[in-house]
Amino acid sequence: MSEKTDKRGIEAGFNDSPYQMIMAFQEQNGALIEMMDMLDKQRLYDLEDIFDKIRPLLKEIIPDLATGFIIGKKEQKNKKDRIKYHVTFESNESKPSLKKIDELDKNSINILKTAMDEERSKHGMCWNYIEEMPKFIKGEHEKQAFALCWMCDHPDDESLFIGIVRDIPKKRPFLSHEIQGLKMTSKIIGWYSNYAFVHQLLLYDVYKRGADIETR
Amino acid sequence: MPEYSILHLDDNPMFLEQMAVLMKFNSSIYYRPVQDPADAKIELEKEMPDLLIVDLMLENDWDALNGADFAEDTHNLYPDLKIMILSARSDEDIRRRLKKSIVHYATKDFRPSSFKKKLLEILNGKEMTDE
Repeated sequence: MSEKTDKRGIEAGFNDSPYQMIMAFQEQNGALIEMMDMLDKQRLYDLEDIFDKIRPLLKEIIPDLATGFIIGKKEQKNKKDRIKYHVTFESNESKPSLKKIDELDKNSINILKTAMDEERSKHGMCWNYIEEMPKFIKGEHEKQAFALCWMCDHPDDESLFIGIVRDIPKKRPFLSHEIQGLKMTSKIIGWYSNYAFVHQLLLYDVYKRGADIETR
Repeated sequence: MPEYSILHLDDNPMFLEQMAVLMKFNSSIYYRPVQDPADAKIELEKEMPDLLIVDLMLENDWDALNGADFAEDTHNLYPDLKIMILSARSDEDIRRRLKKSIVHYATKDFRPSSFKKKLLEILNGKEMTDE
């Protein structure tokens, strides 16, 4: 081996060293457990509220997170509003917010649609510094890293996806173990979100049936 | 007597050390780690391996172009040589670009047992699928 062996790990500029990855996995595991405990206490289906609570943990699972968003896609082909923004959260904002889909241009929407279709068969996709990807944040930097992961399918014909963007001057691509972290995060939130959504629908149904019986 | 020869190019010495330990799972594997593309070329000329494993981000190359170029150039030079990518990057565009030049694309966060199984499949010439 050459002289480079004297320098190890992050000192030598390696973000993919075994020790670095083990530390990242430990951080991810701890944050995921905390996130599950948090979701356990959440009683209502409210994506804004959910993301407000878990955002600090998301930033630990995915370091240097600039923007994240939840986007939904209706499967019915003839629907006009097939793509819908649910929540956008930015690292510098105190609360997650809603962003309207019309803030994106047609090309960006088309790229997103294709990405979402493709993601369903791959589970966890990323594009590092691809210029044709839509600009979700109007940052100062031209090069952004973007990752997309499927979250869940809701019974109202909508598939939810989580997307995240990194936008920092020094190049910081999404690495595979970070995509795994996002994948685990999105599945856990997705399972919870689906549970809460269906639970509320059933509660409403039970309440409505009770009210119908009383009025007879 | 080793049955299979693997040449592994990765600029990260710690990762190569980890892989050297992992490769001991099968005594029929002769594992040769190299840190530099120039050294890899010399090793290729010296003795053709059964499998060449290539990292993408070589020497702080955040665009991951050096490794991708090396894999493509080596495939053009030795079309019969099996080349596998083992990188921390899993970008869609890189995967698409290298599809024709490589037999498998794996990421460094692999599960050791699955990785070993896949490695033997590749060395034994079984049909490969992308990870």
